[in-house]
Amino acid sequence: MIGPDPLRVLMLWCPDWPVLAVQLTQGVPHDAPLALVDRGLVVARSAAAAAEGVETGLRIRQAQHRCPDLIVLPHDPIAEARAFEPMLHAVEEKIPDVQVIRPGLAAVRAKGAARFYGGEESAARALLDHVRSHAKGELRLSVDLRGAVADGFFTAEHAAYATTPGRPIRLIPPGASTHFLAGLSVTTVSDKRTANLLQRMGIRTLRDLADLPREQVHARFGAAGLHAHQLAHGEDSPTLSPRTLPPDLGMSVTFDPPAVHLEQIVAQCEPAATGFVETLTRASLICTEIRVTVQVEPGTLLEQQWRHPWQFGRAEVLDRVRWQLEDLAADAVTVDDDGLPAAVLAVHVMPESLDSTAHHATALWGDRPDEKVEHALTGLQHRLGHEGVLTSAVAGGRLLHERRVLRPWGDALPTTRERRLEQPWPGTVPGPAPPTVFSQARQAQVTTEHGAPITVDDRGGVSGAPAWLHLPDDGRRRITAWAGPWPVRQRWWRKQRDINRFQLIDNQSTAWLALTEGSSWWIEARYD
Amino acid sequence: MATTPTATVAELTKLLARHDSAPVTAGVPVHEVFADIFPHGLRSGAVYSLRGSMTAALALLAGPSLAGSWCGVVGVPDLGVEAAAEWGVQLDRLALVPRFDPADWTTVIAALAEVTALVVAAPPDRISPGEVSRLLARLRTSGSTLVVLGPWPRAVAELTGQVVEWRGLHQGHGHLSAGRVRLEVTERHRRRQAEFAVPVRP
Repeated sequence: MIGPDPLRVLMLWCPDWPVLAVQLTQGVPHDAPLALVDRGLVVARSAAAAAEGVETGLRIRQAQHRCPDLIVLPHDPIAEARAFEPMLHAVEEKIPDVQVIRPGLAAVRAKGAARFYGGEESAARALLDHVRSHAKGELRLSVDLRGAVADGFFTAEHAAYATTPGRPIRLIPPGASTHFLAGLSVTTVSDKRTANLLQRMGIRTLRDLADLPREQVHARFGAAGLHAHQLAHGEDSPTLSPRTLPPDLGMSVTFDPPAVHLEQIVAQCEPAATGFVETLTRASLICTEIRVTVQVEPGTLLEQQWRHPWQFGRAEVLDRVRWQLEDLAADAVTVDDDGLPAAVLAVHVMPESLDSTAHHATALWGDRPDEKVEHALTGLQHRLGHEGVLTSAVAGGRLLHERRVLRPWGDALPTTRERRLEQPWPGTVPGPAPPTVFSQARQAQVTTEHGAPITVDDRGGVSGAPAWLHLPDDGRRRITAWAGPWPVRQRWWRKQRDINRFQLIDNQSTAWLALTEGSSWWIEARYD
Repeated sequence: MATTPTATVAELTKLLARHDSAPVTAGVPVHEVFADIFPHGLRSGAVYSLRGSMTAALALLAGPSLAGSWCGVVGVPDLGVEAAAEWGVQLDRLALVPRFDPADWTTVIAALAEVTALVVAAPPDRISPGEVSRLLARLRTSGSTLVVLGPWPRAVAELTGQVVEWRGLHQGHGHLSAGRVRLEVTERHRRRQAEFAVPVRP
C-alpha cells in the first residue's frame, strides 16, 4: 500500500490521551498523580506523576516507589477509544472522513480543507479551534491539541510529535519529508529487534538508512527492512481509509434542569427506552448486556453493567435504570422519600454485547423459560426489587452457605466451570445434604453433662462428650449421638480461623450441623 | 319446542352425576415416595398445610419439578438448595422469593401461582378471611397448589412430617448416612401415612 506519492495528511494529536480519557471517564482529578499500566509496566502517566519522576516503561513497584501517592489503573484501550468518539464527531463536523490511527491520533485529507480555508495552516488552525471549543463545551475538558500537515501518515505523525504547546501546528512542505525525517532514530520505523541490529551496525538515524541502496536493504532485512526504507524516504500510503461510523444504538436522556426524583427520571427515560429497543429490533440485533451510565451533578459518572440471560426489552432497561438510581439513593445518608442525594444530569444506556437475532431463534421446545413464566417473574421482580426474585445453583465449597449460589432472576448463574463442583473439597460434610441451611448461622451452646462448655484444642481433642444443645429460642435438648470435630481449614493464608464442625442428633430425632471456634458455637444447618 | 318433563329430569340427573364425580383434571404430580398416600397427586387449586419437616417439603417440590413444571418457594431464606437438588428438584425451574414486605404475601403467592405448579410458602403473619377466599379463587383458576409451612385456616389436608430416625452417627464417630421420615396426612378426619428413606435412591 506504500507508494512514491503519498497523500497530503492533516494530523490531529491529543498528547497523553490515555490519561485524559481516564480522568474523563473515571473522574480522577486532573492534578492527581496517575499511571496506567499494562502487564506490569507503566504505559502512560499524568503530568503530576511525571513531575514525581514516574516514566513510561517503569515497573509498577518502581513507579510507586518514586511516587507513593500514585493512582495505578489498568490501561484500557477500548474505554479510550470510546472516550475519543466525541472528539472524532467534532472533527467530522469540519472535515469529513477521519482515519483513527489510534485513540488520541486522527488523520484527515488536507487537500480539500486547504482549498476551502485558503491554506493548510489556516485549515489546521480552524480544525484545532473547533475541536478545542467542542471539547470545552461538551466534555468540560480543556485539551492540549496539536496539528501537523505533511506528506503521508508517518511524516505527519512525527511532525505532530515535534510541535510544542507554544507552536501547536507544524507544516512540512510537499517533498520535504526526507529532510524532516532525516534526524529521527531508526527505532521509529522498525521493530525492536531490527532497530537494535541497525544501531549495532552504525545505522542510527533515518538519514543513514535512507542513504543505503534499497535493493540491498531489502535483501538483508526482508519486507520489514523495505518498509522502513520506504518510510525513511517519505513514501507512504496514497489513500486514506476513513472509519465506518458504527450505528448509534445507545440511548441517552439529558435532564435540564437536573432531576432529583426517581420516578420523574424513569418516566422521562421511557420514550428513549422504547426507541432503544426498536432500533435494536430494526437492526435484527439482540442485546444481552447493557452499560448504564448516570451522570450526577458534581461531574461524577456512575457506570454499571447489567446482564440479561436472553434479551433486553423496554421494561427490563427501565428496571435496570431504576435499580441503579435506587442504589445511588441507598448510598446516601439522608433518607428522603423518592429524592436522590444528587441531581442527575443525564442517563446513558449503551448496548455492550450484541448478537444477531438469527443466533437466538427460540428452539422448538425452548432453551429459555416460556414467555409466561418470564413475564410473571419479571413482573414480580419489578415489584419487589432486583434481589426480590432469585434463582439458585449448587457450587463447590466447604461451608454450606458457599455451596448455595443465589442470583437475582435475570442475572446469569455461574457456569459449570465457575461452580467448581467436581473439584475435591476436603472437609465437606458427607452424607445427605441438610434441607435447612441457615442464611445466617445461629448462636447456640453445646455443653457437657455438667454444663461445662465444650472446646476443641489445637490437636483436635474435644474437652468432653457433648450432652446438651442449648438453642436460644428453643430451650435445651439432649444430644443422643454426635461426631466431630471435623476441621474446616480454608483460606489459611488470609486469616487463620480454627473452625471445627460437629454433627449432632438430639432426642427429638433432629440432626444438626454445628460450627465451633474457641468456646462459641453456631448452628449451620438442620436435618429435619 | 315442547320438552317432556321426564326428559328434563333425566338430563338434570345426568348433569348432577357429572358434578358429583371427582374432577377429571389431573392433580399436581408427586414424587414416587408419596405414590401411596396421594394416588392422584396433590389436588390442584388447593392449599395444604405442612408442619415439622423441610425434607417432606422438598420431596413434595420434587414431584412437579421432575414432571417439568416450574415451582416456587416463598419466604424461606434458609432453603437447602443442595438437598432440593438431591431430591431431583430442577434448580433452573425453581423461583425463590426469600424476603419481601409481609403485606405483599398474597400478591406474591398469586403471581407465582400463575406460572408454577406448586408453591411452598412460609405462612403469613396474619391473613383476613377475605384474602384467603381471593387467594383460593386465584389458585383454582391457575390450577396450582400451595403448601403452607405452618397453620392455614382452610387447608384441604394437614400434613405432618416427622423424622423417625437418623442412622450412621454414634458417640463421637461416624456420620449421618441415612434416615427415615414419616409423613402423616389428615384429610377429612381420616389419617394415612407414608414412610420414606433419605437420601432417596434413584
